[in-house]
Amino acid sequence: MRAAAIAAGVVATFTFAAPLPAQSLRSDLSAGPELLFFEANDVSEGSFAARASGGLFWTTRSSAVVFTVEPRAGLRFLSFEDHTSSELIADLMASLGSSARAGRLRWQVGVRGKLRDLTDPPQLPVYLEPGRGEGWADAVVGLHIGRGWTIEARGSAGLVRYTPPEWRVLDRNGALGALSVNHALGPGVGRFTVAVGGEEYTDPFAFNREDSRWGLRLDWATAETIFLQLEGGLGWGYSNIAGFDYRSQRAALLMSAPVGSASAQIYAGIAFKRYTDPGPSDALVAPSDRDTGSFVIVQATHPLGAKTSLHLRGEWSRSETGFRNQYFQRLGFSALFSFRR
Amino acid sequence: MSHALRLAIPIALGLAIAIGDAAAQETRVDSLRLARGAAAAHVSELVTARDSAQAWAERLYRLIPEAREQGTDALRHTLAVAQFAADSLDTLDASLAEALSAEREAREALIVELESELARTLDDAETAPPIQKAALTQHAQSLASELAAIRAPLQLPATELPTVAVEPGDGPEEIALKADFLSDRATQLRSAADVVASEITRVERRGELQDEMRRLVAEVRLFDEAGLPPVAAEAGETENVTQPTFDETSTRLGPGDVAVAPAGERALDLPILPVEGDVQLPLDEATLLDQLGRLREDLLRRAEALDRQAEEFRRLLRGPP
Repeated sequence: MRAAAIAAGVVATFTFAAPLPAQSLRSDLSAGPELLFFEANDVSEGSFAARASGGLFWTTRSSAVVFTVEPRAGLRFLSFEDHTSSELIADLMASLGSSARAGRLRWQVGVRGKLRDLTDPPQLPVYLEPGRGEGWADAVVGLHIGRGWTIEARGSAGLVRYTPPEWRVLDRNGALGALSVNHALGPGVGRFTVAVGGEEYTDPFAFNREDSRWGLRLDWATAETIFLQLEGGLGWGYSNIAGFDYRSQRAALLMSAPVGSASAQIYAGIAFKRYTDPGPSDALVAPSDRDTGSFVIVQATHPLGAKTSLHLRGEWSRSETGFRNQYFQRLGFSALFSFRR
Repeated sequence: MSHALRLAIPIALGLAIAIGDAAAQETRVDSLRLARGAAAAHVSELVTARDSAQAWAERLYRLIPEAREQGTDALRHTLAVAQFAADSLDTLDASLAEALSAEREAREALIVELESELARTLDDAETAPPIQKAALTQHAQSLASELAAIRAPLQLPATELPTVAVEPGDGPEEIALKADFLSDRATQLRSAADVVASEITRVERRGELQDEMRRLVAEVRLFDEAGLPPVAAEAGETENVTQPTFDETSTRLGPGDVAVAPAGERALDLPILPVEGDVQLPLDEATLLDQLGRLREDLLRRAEALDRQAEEFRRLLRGPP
């Protein structure tokens, strides 16, 4: 994960570097303290943390194409009763697409990459994502067919690799294809998407596991006085390993709205997954017959100056599984100062 | 040759010369009349075209709030057309200024010629025999009427006059009228600029909201705060999936230990609210703001020019300090 550290340094350097002339360059940096409370199966633990993250949003455009690069890095130290852990993450997205003036046919290709490192992983009830690397390549083509209708097709392919040996059973390659129809609905744009994807697990202990899935999704987004995006979806998953077929439902909300001179953001989601054939209750084929997950993040943003803001953020998430009715819950509060230009 | 004949020849020659001179003078005046008429017709055409373009542009300015409600594409299209209309107005203004200048020169040349013709006709009428005097006097009156019509103060159109100038025959009332007219037009343009400025504020505010949202989602995604821990089933112990996978004697976390569920689904599912890399192609907010800024500057520049001209007219009324 040395690369994560290097990437973080590069991002920090760029964040404080002078903007490149004749190109659009925005940067942001936020930092502040955080209180986190973890709970799993009636055991709880608190942690005091400090986090910092920053990113660049660099865009250059011609009359025909737009090229965007968004590197981002984050660092968090968590202090527990008997030890400390740290997270270091580097993330990069780059895309090349047709400009807004390109006409009816628009396209975009891009890559995404992420490196994550977690030192001294904590024990239950604390859960933090383990170290991993992942990379994806995406392509999107959209065609305006008139009267507010657009047809879009997208495809992506990539891989996920974990660093802890016990997690490598989840190493996998995958691909996704999706076809969407968009239409103006009220002040926003509605979208109906059909998606098909598959994963192939690469670790020898995964027993040549191959999953496939398809899903339907409806979402609607508007960017007027407030920014609002709503989503609902259904999914069907299939696996060559017995017990892993499932049906899922989910919904999500994303909103950013003005509140006087300040603003508020809400990001929330909920998902249910039920396995269709987990086996008899006394000898489950799969370790769970159901999974449920939800999260809510609420943030109040108060401008302190033209380029600085204070963000007060509260977040809550909970995951449950049918395996012994286990659950995992996290509650967090943070006060972050952000600088942007 | 008789005495009468000797007398008749110079008279005939004199008459011939005089008639020829008068005919040449008449041809020159007619030519100037034609030139001035063509110039005035050109001005009228341009004024009509500019009035139409102005009405079109103002109609587009009024459409901006409606287009904003219809969405970004409609707004961008309306602004682009409004900018085109403003550019067309600029072109027409330049053409009109040239046409007015040409018309003014043609009119002044005609006035000079008519004044000369009028003076000569009046002189001729004084010395002409009675049989010719009435015709010459009538001709002089016709010339005087034509001169008065040409020298008359500019008649301001009710709706639009892009270029207003103080004419030689303008009195204080006409100049004050023109100054008020210019100020009124400047106020209208400033109102349109205010509409555009409010749109700029709205777009900037919306951009800030989107930026806040984008930063929040990017940070949540960076720290994996919405992609909850992996699914126990998916992380399952593939060596023996029929056995319980939670080792109660250990608190060390592994993929089979995490009693948690999928909120964010796996990466190959459509991610929840995929703001980045989504099928929604990036909005060209910078271009939109640039268009709005140019439109507002254009309107304010026009208003300032009209105010400046109105002030010059009022300074004329106040006289030299």
